[in-house]
Amino acid sequence: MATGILGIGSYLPPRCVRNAELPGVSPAMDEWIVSRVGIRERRICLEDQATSDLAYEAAVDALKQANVDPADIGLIILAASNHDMVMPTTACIVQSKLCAKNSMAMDIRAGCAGFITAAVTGAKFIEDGSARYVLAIGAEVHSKMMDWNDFKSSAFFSDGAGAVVLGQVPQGYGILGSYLMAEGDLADALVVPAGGSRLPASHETVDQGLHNIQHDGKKIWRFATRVFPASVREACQRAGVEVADLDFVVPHQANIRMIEKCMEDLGGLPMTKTHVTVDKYGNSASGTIPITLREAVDMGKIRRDSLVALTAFGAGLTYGATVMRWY
Amino acid sequence: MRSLEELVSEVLGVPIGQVSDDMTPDDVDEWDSLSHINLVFALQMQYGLSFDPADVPAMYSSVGGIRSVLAAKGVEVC
Repeated sequence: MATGILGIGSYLPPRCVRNAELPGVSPAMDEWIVSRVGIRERRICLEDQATSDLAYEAAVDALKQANVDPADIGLIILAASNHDMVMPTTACIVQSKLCAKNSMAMDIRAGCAGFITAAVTGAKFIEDGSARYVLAIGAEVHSKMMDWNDFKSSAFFSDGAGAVVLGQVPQGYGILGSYLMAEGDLADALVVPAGGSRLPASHETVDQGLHNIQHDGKKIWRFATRVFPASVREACQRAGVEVADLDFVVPHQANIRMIEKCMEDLGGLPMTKTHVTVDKYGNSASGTIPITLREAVDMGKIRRDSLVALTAFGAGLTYGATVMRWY
Repeated sequence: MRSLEELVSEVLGVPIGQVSDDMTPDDVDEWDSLSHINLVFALQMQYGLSFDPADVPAMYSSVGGIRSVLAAKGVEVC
């Protein structure tokens, strides 16, 4: 037997904010955002929603699709950047909400590459027999750790969650090869400086906006356009397949131009072999891949036997890809 | 009122001594397509302008390009 995805769930907060609704955005700025980033609108959580609330909804959706009882989950891995609290883990909060009483639960932090990191790590627990089912979740609430007066963040980041149930699938299906990597030397490209042990929360850190996300767009662009194609190639090699044989690629949704460039750099894969959600959901970090995957499957773009690559890059900087035969 | 150089320096976080009409987005890591929105917003606020869609990419060329767009709108930039 092999390990694959048995069910996918997603949760998009009901509040939709169009570019024109961002304070101060003129029609000319709206057009620029659409043309340069590809985002027309984004989803933002409600005031009383936290990361675990989004994660829980996505998890319930995935469990329902997989027809798996929460009591049969052996491990919950949750990827996020903005957790409910510093302690305990958000995964434990979700475990309690799900009544998944027979599960270990842990968080990982790998920025926008968090979901892939969670899924690839979780699959190992199934492969070695430690868990029958694993719930891998990517959830993000960017809206509560950004400066809404800084368009660099408010036009770009969003909230959302996705989840998959991993379990055994027939040999030849499921995960065929994966690749995870980090380049910590580039850690300063995407940071929330304060709130940790280096710079604990204080009046000064709040006044200086150091609890908000800060990112170096050009450095991340250079990194992403290098590692996106490279990670897909490496995962394909480990899977024993050719990039040209891929039926579908589900990339992290950060920027439409980046997706177009990287598909081109993968030997000219056509855009019909991917699915774009950044235009309507924005960049929800570790949420984007399961959200996009779910939509692509629901639309029939991914079917039984499809050869699919998932790929992401994010804070750390981290990146990775996994190639699977869809079951 | 701030000079154009002061405004660009403040919004992009670039030392004012580095800001000149020849400065392009390629010269400054901080000047990317998203931070350009902050710059356009600051220009709108400072000069009380409403830019046309074609103005925004035209200003993503250089500080001199911004000055030209402002001049075309009748704004005397110090």
